[in-house]
Amino acid sequence: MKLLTHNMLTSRCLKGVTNGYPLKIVANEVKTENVDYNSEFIARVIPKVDWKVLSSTASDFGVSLPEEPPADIESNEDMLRKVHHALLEIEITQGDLICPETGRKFPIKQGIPNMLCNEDEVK
Amino acid sequence: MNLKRLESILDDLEGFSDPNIRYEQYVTPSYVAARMLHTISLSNHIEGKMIVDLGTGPGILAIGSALLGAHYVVGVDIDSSVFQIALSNLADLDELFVGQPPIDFVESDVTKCVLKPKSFDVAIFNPPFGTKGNSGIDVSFIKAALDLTKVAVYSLHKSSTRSFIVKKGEQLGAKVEVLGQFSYDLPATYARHSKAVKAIDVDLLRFSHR
Repeated sequence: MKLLTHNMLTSRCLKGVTNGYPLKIVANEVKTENVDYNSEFIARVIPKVDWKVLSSTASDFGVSLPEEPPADIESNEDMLRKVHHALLEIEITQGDLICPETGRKFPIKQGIPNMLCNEDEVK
Repeated sequence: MNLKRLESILDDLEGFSDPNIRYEQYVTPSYVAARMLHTISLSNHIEGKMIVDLGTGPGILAIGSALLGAHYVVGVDIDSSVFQIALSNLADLDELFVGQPPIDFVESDVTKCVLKPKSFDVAIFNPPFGTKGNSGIDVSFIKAALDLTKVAVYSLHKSSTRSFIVKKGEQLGAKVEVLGQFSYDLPATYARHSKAVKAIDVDLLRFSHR
């Protein structure tokens, strides 16, 4: 699971949960991969991600991003490469995602988060 | 990548090892998947886009989207058993990608919202048609897909249900177009009659956000 996917995942389907976001990550196994870089594509992704969540999550995995996206980010090659690395190249292969409101765990196995809920857990 | 090459790559991918009738699992034929993706690509809705494939199964449409240059693809499925096949399909195509393919899979019920609304540009999928006691599932998929996307939703639907699906799409606020029609064989398990295979007509529909 990439941090871009984490940036989109919520537990808002659970009963009693308002936002369910961001999910806490407990990473037991992490890989770094090489994914094709395209500055134009990554620049288009940036307005779609929750930057605060990305920067705090990325720092847990050793990538330091500023608290706000720099104003010149579209022409800032170093920053774009860093964001590309954080969003697409850090791969959490084993661990858990944890609902911030209920503590419900969603296991990640072989890089795939299991977000399935039982019928009695969902709204 | 041209259509012929895409079709031949998709044709070599593995399908379901043990199709589950409950989820109406059957593989989108490679000639349909390739033509569907090629058509979408001509509308500039694949290259560089963020794409979600709902009910991805062995990942044919997700992988095909990545092959055509999608920037990032998420394949969602409720059945964990399909991911082994999807991952092995991806591994087989290793040399076609620069680095790792930009694909993630998520195990989830498509109709339960676990992804933030409007996270993707485009949704591309072949939904269950709702013929096995799960009527309405195709409309639930369209609804989920419209919720997740900003630009457009492309999906396959039985031509016999066209006017119903178009009306539902419009009720959900989308502009609906029929982009093409395919005829393909559905395995007997999913047909209402006991003939070995049943050819059905399927529409490629586009639901655009207004």
